[in-house]
Amino acid sequence: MILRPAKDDFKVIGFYVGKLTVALGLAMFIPALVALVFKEWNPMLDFVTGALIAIVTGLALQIVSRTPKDLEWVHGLTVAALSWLAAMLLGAVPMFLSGHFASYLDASFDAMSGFATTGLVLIQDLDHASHALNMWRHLMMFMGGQGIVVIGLTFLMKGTAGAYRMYVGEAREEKILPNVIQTARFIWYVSLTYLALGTAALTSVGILEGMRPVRALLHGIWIFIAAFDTGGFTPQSMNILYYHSFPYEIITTLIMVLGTMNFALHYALWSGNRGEIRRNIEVISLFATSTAIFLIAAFSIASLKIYPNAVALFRKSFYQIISAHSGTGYSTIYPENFTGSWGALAMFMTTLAMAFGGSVSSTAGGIKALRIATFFKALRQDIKKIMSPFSAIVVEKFHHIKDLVLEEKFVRNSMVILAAYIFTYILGTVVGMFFGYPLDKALFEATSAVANVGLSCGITAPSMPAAMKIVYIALMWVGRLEFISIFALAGFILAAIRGK
Amino acid sequence: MKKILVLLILAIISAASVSFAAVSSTDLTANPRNYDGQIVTYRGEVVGDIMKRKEGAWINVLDGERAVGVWVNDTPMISNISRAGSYFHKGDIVEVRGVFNAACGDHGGDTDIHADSISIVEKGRPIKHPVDPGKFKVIAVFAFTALILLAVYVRASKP
Amino acid sequence: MGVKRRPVFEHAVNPMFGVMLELACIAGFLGFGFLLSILIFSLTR
Repeated sequence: MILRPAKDDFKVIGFYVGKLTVALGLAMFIPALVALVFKEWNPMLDFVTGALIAIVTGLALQIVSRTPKDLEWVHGLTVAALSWLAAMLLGAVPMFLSGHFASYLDASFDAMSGFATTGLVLIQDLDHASHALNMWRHLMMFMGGQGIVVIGLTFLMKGTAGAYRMYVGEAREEKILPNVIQTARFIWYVSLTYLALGTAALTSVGILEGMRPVRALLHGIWIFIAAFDTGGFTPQSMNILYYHSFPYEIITTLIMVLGTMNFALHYALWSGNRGEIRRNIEVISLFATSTAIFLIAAFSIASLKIYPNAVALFRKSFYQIISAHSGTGYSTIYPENFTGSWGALAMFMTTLAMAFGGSVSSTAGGIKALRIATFFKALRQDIKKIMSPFSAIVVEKFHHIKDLVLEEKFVRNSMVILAAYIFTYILGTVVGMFFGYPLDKALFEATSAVANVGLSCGITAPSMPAAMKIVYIALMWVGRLEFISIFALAGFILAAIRGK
Repeated sequence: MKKILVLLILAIISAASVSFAAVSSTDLTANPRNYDGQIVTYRGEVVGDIMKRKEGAWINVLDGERAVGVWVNDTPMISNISRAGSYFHKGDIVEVRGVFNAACGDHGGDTDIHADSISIVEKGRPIKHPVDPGKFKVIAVFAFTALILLAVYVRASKP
Repeated sequence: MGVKRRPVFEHAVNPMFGVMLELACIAGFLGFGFLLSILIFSLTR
């Protein structure tokens, strides 16, 4: 029997969504400030407007929903799911006002793409966008990557119990540190350290490669954020190809891989546990899958003789594969090249890399390395069981920060999510094909959306049917929240309608 | 004899005009192999940065949907370019004539054009962004509302 | 006075060590990819 939610339950959810909405509004003052500095008056007014609308909405929600009730599991998950939708709708306001989007739907698409650190774009005339607009686009990726909830944790919450439930709703299960507040603090510590280093590196290279210092700095900040948060937005329409720079590609590759690492792994390494990098099952899994995928893709590409030398082969195939696998979506080739030049096998390998994804508890998307590894471990265990005497107990172990035993419950949970991803990839593909796109392109693009990668083979464009844009927004949302929060939200709605 | 001469002249004229017709960015990126290694004429707006490097310079030229990178070995070729496109400016419209590479061996496989000549078709100019006074009214309304709500919120928070 | 200060993180964290280690490993992976590219390119020629 499902209990119908009480008025107080709606209030708890409304209250916390309201809090996060206010934080979103405050964040919009950052691009407003950038606009002021660069004398971009219209964008400045647009961002102030957007900020105020978000703040008004958030305050109103909090006033109306005031309740002493504390956040429980189903609330936390629902808050996470709804906050993303609210962030999308409100974040799109200044974007739409900029005039770079054909419709509010297009602006919402890019807003969801930003917060979900996807990177698919419908923006038009990006090369003439204001610095303020680019600041917001990349800031959305920073917020989304760090987790809207982690930001909320850091600034707005006092207790920890409710905070943890929202954090998990955000698809970060690992208790990296004993206290959730400490976990959030460590994530910030790593992110800000690399922000400083990465921005410095990219800015220097930018200047050396012929960019003016202010532009090099702005690009440095933005490109770092979108790489570390494995997002994929860039300030120019040519994506990373714009820079025509090997050093830029190397640095962004380093950052992409850093961003796809589990924060628990960062913590282990930063606290001196060097051995973790060899023993960690996700590192092993990522290394194995990316090497295998790269070998096949590069071999296929090389056989087609598209690239005239080994350096070109490396620069192009390695970059795109790592970009795909890490869930970033940076590219140094045109979308048309995936179907046109790369050939079916290499394109499919890229799709697989996107589907597999990065680590859990990182900014990456996709099925994720721990689950891929769990699948193979479980398979191995089952094979061993078959080969062993009937009464024998087969224990499978793996190392993930700690030495762990592969437990039935863990395998079950992992495999359900793995299957959910595959189902959603297929669902997205079917929708694409329904709208007339061929299988290889529909699968590529749908996977890119669900796994929050952002590589495009050309389907994502302002001319896309509106219904398809809506479906892709849903795919990006579902993929970023890893299903559980969506199930909670659906369950909550169902209970509200049909519960007793 | 006269007929052959006329035909010959017509043929030369049409051949010359064909090679002067600009190819679009979408054509180049969608069908790179059709143009690989050939001399093309490409026209578009210079956007972003004019990146001077050790052995030459890069400019990225935008033509509608797509931008293509143009490499110049000879920096004086770009010395006439006054502006690259940005929020405040429309960049110079240039016509580039050079060899198109689907995957350039010198440049890590980048799709690019190695320019033989660059001419300025249209000089860049500032883009006007007039401020709509209506925006101030909207902001005033929402700011006022926000302040009221904030007062209500703070009052309600007090036990 | 005399109250022990709570550590910021459970274990002491050394960012310089962490950054150097991580960058070194990833750079190694890139180098590995580069060598593979050379190998693959020569095999297909």
